[in-house]
Amino acid sequence: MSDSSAAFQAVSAPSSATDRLAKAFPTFAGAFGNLGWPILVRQLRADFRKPRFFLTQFICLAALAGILLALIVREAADETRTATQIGQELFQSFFIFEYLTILLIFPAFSATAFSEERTGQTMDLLLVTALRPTEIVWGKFLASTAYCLVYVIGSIPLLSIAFLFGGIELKEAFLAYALLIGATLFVAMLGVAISAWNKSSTRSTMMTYCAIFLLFLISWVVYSQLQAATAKSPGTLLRALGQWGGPGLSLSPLHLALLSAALFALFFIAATNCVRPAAQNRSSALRVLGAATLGGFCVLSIAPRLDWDGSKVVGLPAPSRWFEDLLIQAAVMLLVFAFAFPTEPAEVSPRNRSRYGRWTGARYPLRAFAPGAFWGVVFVIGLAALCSLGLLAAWKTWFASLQSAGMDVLISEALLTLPIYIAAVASFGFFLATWDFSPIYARFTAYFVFVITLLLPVIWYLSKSREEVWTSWDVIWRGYYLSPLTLWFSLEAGSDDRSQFLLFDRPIVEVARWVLAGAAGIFLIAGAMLARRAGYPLFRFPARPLPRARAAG
Amino acid sequence: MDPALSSTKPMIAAAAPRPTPLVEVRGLTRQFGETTALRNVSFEVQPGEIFGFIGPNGAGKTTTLRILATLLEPSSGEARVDGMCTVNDTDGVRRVIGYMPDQFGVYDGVTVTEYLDFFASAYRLPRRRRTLIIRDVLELTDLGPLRDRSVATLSQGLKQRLCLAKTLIHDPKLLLLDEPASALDPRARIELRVLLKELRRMGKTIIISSHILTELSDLCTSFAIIEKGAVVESGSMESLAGRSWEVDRVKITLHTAWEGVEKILLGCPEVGAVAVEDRRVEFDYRGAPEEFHRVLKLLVDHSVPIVAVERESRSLESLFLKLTQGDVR
Repeated sequence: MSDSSAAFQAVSAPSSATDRLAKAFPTFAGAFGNLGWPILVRQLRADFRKPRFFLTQFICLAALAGILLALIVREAADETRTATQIGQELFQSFFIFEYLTILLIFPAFSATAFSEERTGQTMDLLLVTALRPTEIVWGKFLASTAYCLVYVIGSIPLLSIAFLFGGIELKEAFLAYALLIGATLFVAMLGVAISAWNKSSTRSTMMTYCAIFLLFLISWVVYSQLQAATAKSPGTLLRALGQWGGPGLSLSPLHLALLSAALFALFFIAATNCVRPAAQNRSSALRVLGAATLGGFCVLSIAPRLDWDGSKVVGLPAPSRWFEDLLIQAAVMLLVFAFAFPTEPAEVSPRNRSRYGRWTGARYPLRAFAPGAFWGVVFVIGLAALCSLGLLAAWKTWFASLQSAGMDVLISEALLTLPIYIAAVASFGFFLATWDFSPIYARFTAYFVFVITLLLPVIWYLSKSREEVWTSWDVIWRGYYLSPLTLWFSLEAGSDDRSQFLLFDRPIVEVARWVLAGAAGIFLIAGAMLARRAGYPLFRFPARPLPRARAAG
Repeated sequence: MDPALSSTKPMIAAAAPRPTPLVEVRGLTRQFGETTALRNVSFEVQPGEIFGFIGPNGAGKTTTLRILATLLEPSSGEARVDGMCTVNDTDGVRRVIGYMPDQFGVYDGVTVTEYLDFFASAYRLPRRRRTLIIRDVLELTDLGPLRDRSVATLSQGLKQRLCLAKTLIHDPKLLLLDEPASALDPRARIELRVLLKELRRMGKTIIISSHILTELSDLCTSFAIIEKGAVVESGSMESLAGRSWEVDRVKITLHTAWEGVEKILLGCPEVGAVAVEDRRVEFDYRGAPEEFHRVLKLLVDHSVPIVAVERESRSLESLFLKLTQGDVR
């Protein structure tokens, strides 16, 4: 063993550059530090040396080139096509393929960013360094993005083939690339966030793909509904909301950019929370940002902005409507909150319980929202009911002109059913929490129920003709009719069709309301019984932590 | 003025100030669900000490070290390193500790130098000093000739040494080594022991958890024995001397096999557990160290052809066996 103690000098001071940055911009430096540069460099060194990197890039670029070549051959054979049309066709195909590649192939790299560290047993070594959680997440994010960006940049020469045919504006190409890079960043951060939360590489990869699929599906449903809303009248839920809030929830470029940025920030904070010591958890920041996102999104929907064609200004509502619009947007926002809350009581874990138990001072009343807190569920149900009543009042007061007979029934029935639906989901979350379910599985079971009841019936519904829908016992048994969206379909059907939307000779909405109310009651009672058995003080406000023996510290 | 009063020396000698411990652990409790991994663990480690943390598997050694390394938070109680709380001042604590977990991996696809360079930059060491520091650490851990080797191709022992080099890269005051010799061959263990002694000479404080008690007793200046999440005994190694359970294992090699040697040895009241196998004789010695020569004299008087005598202190091992039950939780 060499004796080099004399040469081995003490080094404890951080780099002067970082120090200077921290002094000049303490907030920025605190949040981003050195932007995760060491992690990026190490990851690039390691990953770019692997054959996997070159193989992936080669296959993707070769496939892209092959598709373009095949298109040129096919289009050139069609004599009716002009060069401009061929150029536009190539341009569109190029970006669609690139977009799909980013969605389907590259999440596999970002989804293992942290889980790879965990399975490789290097996570602890990384965490005990002087790198801040934000730097670690940034480093991982940049490294994951690099994979994708190399592909995007590497494909630029292939795009030049489309330019040879003409018909493409440079502005159009820049916009397409901006969207592509935006998608890259978004998908990378989503994968990083999921891998930071999940310990297994396989599970985090699967979850990332599921999340991307769901986002894709949701955006597709929203998009198709928006298209429907502009094409026919009377429209769907979004059409109705759109009418209430002026331009409403239509996704302009500004909206899309802001929403993506906010979601990106939410994923980033969520990822750093997983890397951070529990005592320094930023879940409050997550909630504040989430609230600001929703609020900002709703408020901005009445602001003037440019539409996708770049010229049309989607109007600022008339000054007389300003106040009303703001109120309605606020009501919509509250309703969205009410939808977001039901899974909140399901967040159970001994650590969380002890943490909520330590909340004192101004945060003391927030104990009501501690996992399994009865008053949290009551609040959620109350909020949903309040929002519904507010929206109903707004509808009756300000939109008399829209109150055709069909729409009136539609809105009234929906606003009566919605809080009951929320009550059922919230009670289910409460039941899981008091059952002392695993925190992860409780939350995701609640989300799963939420998504299944919301989306699956729509897919099923779209695949069937209307006549088949409500006559099948299978549907009744599976409870598809309980989804708010299917209820909307049943409600918006014309008076002639409505006879098909009967269950047990009663209107389907009414049956659904009774079933949901019954489920809410059963879950509340079962949850209360479980809480009582565990010695949990159910009705005391604010909710107190569990007795020490149960609270596990 | 009375010269006695004007004197700057105090009339009564003040009590020697108690040295400030580098590590203070007070009433540490950690629960994982319904399982209590640590219950009310308390100990102190003074600067410059090598502190042996001993316990059977699942006793709570790793949990304690992970709390000290800021990777876990205690359910109750407090741990302080260099006066800083491991929960509230994680950044400060991380700057003064070097943590080597019991199970760790290395980043594939990078060389030894690049691996250390990554950790040096992660500890914010200035770029211009990094090369020098990496060279010194490589020299200290004898990895200099392997500086350009891919870390993936290193043997387990070399990876262990590389991890130790990484742990030293930012010159921490305190080293937390969790079973550092578990995967090492005998030679590497000896080298590790030499390195740890060298680090102590350099002023480092070391907390080391290990199962190899004989090596710890040679190395450590103080110890704590933990079982079922609770510290059952702690103190300095000197305090072990003279305890009733102190037992040394003595190994004697004879020139030729000697019948009756067992009988001769059992004649001594301090000797027990005699095992004879051909030319090798082993026995436990419970007497005072200064009386050991009497046993040897007895053997020489009976013309037993002794070639070599090896005495191994088993005080820590004996204490460990006496205090722990080895139950698995």
